[in-house]
Amino acid sequence: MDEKKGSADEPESDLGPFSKLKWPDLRAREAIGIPLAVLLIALLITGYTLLTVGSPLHLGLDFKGGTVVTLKTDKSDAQLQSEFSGYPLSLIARDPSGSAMLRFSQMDTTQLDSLTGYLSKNYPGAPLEHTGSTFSAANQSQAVIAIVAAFVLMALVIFVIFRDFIPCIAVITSAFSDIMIAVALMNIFHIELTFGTFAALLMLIGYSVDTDILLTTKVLGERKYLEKKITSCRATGLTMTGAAIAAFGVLYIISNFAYLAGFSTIPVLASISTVMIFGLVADVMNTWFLNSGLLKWYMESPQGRAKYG
Amino acid sequence: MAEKAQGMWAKLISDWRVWVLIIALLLSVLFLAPGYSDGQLKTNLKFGLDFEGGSFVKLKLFNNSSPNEPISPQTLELTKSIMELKINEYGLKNTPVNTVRDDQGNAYVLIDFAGIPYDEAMSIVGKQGKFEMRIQTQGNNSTHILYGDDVQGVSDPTPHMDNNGQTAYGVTFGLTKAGAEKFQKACIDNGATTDPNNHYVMMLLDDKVFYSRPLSAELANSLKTKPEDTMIAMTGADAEGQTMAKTVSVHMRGGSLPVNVQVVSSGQVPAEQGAMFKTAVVIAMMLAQCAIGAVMYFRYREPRIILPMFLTSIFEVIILLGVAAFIGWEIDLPSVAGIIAVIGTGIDQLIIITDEVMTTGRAPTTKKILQKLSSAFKIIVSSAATVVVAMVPLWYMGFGALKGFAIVTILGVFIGILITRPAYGRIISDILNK
Repeated sequence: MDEKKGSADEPESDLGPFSKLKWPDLRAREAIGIPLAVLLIALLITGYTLLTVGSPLHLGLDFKGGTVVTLKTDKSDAQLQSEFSGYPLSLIARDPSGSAMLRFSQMDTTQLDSLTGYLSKNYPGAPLEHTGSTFSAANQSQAVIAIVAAFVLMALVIFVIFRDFIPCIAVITSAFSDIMIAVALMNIFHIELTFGTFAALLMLIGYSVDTDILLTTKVLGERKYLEKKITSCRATGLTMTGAAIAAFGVLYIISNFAYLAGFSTIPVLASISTVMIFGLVADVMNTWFLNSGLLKWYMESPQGRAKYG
Repeated sequence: MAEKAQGMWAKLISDWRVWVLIIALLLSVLFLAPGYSDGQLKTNLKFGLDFEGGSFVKLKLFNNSSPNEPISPQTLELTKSIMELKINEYGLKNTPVNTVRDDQGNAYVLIDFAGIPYDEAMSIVGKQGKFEMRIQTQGNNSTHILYGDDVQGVSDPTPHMDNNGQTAYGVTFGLTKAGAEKFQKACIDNGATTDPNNHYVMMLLDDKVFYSRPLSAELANSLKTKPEDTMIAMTGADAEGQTMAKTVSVHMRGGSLPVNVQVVSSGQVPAEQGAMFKTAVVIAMMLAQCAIGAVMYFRYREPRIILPMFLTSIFEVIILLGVAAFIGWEIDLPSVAGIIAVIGTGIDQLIIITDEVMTTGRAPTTKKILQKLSSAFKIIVSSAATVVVAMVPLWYMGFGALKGFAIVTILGVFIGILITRPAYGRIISDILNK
């Protein structure tokens, strides 16, 4: 940071509609406290899932194993149940476009071969996916490594960029909270952890720190015009998050309702965009209350005053 | 005013950042080579299973003798080449066979069969070939010696010294006791022991000859007295000999693998669904871009800002796709998620640049604008760095299932900070401060 340059002119406050937005004027304690309380609730929800399900998220095929088949059929659930009674059918989900997704739990090889044989005879070319338990277990352990590594690497980069403990912790906490809130909402709305939603959670790291880095870079420096700097940053940041939410909103609508135009739905993209929207909404709160509250508090604290004059 | 505007364009055209962008765009279009035929847009882009349809099989490998021992790199390589040969034999060229290891060192083979239904793919993977050895009797006639079940202990291709003292490739193999006796009997009965040069030993896989060489004089001599249970099939000293040796080594095993395999994941995507996904994804991306455009309009209201921003974002995607075509990357659904991530973070960074340049105050000087631009780039490079490091672990995750996502996102970030965003920064500061 150019601490001594003192080139920070009074920031322009007119940055489009977002700068005229009336932003709740919370005291530092509330601005920090409310998001932390939300984070706590999110952690509790995730903890509850961990206790009841055995994993912090409901696991999808990639991580739990099993077999999923999508059939174009007008048979009723009961008919399908009896048709596949010889196999461990665990769930039938209907797609708005009229196809049925059948999910089977783990089977041994002979049973699986008999199922796929039956399917290729009676439902040729039906989308089919099978994940064995060895593979899903390996995926689980890799996922844990990947997300921990991604987060730690991100945190390291943040420390290298700002080299100031409290602001770094503020950015990292805010990113962590974004992800945890998205995870809690996934639990509430029963969105499963698949490769797709896992990618979305990692994507959130990037989107989340974007606005936090903008805010922190702008605020760390001369203490002059602190409030105005935050307001002008917020206009920029809200445009950024707004654009992202709009894009993922459209993606969500298309991937869910494409069948209206005669296409099939794209479940992977639908769940990715849902998770992204969860995280981006959380990011508005975490960046512009939690992170900016922490920064304001830090800049006014004796330590911050000593460092940034 | 008009003159001034003209001056601006002239200045822009002479800027290296703008040139880099233009060249990158032209190259990308060249690599993509878009064309229109049969009512469809055609490009050089390759698409993965998600969009092309087909089947995939993921196999975990276990050592035959001791299942808990790790698979050696040589065994893994051999398994891979056997699989490739099997698949080629089936008439499927260019079917990629990939090998990976997980964090515990377990080895896996991943195969994507484009356009092949599930049951067919599984039968190719599970198929065992019929190996046979025959010996020439007279002219074009030959007689049966033994089948693959009499062969044991086939070596990898290794260089040997041949009779002329030259190094040549060959495969050492063993025969069972019964096999060795059959071999000896066939050679004696057909007079090969006395006239080895006119009695070729042939090897066949599924009744097709893939190896045919005369019986060596040395072997012929010793066969006169006793059966031999170890011999070498020589193939030649040149590159052809080396390839041939590989084929022999694989085919003698009848296409059977040196390891036990377990299907850990498999599935199929119907081609119609893939094609539908492709169209839906393209439409979704275009509409997402429009949604971003709408937010930009809501925020800036000025076409002279929105237009360059919008175009830059589209250029970023075009260059990204150009690079994908250049490196021959197969676009799958995770790659599409990556493209979306690139569009989104790209727009975010263009907004940062714009707002930074917009707030140069009432009396903008070149120095001030440059200062603002460099502070915007500090932010951009910082957040790009975090995105890149967050993506790196994904490279290894899920046996490459999310590699497309990681690669596309990282590529997009680099294209953004190296090519498109510098040019945009230059263009927008000229537009806003002329």
